[in-house]
Amino acid sequence: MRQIRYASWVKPFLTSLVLLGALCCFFDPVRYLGWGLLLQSAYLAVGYVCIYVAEVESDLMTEAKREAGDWNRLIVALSIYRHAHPAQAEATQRLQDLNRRFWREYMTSRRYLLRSELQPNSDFEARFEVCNALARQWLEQVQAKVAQGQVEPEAAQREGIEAMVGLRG
Amino acid sequence: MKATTSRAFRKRYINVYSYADFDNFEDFFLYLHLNRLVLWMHFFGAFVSIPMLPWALYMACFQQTFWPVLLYLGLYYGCGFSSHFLNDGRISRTTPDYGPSYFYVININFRILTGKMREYEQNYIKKYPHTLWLYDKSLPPPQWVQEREQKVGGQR
Repeated sequence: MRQIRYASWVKPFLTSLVLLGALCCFFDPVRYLGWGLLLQSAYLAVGYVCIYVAEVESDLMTEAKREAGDWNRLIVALSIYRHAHPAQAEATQRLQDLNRRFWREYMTSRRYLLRSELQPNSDFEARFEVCNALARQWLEQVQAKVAQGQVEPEAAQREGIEAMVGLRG
Repeated sequence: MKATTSRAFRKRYINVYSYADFDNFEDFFLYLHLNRLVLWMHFFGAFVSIPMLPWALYMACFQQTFWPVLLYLGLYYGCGFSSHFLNDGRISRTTPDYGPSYFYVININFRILTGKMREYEQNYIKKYPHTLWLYDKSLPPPQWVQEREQKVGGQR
């Protein structure tokens, strides 16, 4: 299980906020402040959960990048390219949109296939391999487009996204 | 991070990067909130207003007194929106994902409270170093920005 290190005062602070809030709820002049402090505690608890989920997500992303290649470098390269070549800015932006969509679909398919892996079904395992192969192929394709300065999206990119979505079918 | 560029400069160029330049909405959201003053105003607004909400709702529903609700809204949303306007010269651009942005605000506020913001920022800096020129005066902006700045004689 993922562990996040917080400063030693965080837990006592949150606990005392809950206790103070609960205590205030019993006394009339500060009753609503008590509810407010409890609400504040709930708000902070949601923050705790948000960070936990973000960290778990980040772990999944790191693992995916290890298998498919670091697509963040591609995102940065596209962004830099768009600003270095204002004449091609619109085409680059279209490619950026497709690129982001592709990686979102990749993560969705990856999650779907990883969940399904629990079932004894070798078809999913094969699809998982295809999923990573498609991602590597996309990375190479788009990197080559940027290197050659031909950033206008082509049919191959749209097909790549469709193929990725199709893996969940 | 501490913004060393001028408000006018950030106002001119903060919209240069859009959602398309980032891996996900969370990173784009952080880009728009990198300015430390913006972050702290968000934090202040949320931290002060939330304990007030039950009382404000009680006053509105049972006492027909509406100024506490207005005060709550002014603090919660007012601090957020005005932080962008006062520090970066623009109001928030997170409208397409307004719902999820609530969770990112909560996430960032909790990080500020618990001292986890620096680590979060460092990850961003590692991931998107090319966007930092907007906030950091010592970093060179893209060529077209330099040319435009020379033309208009703008101050960074």
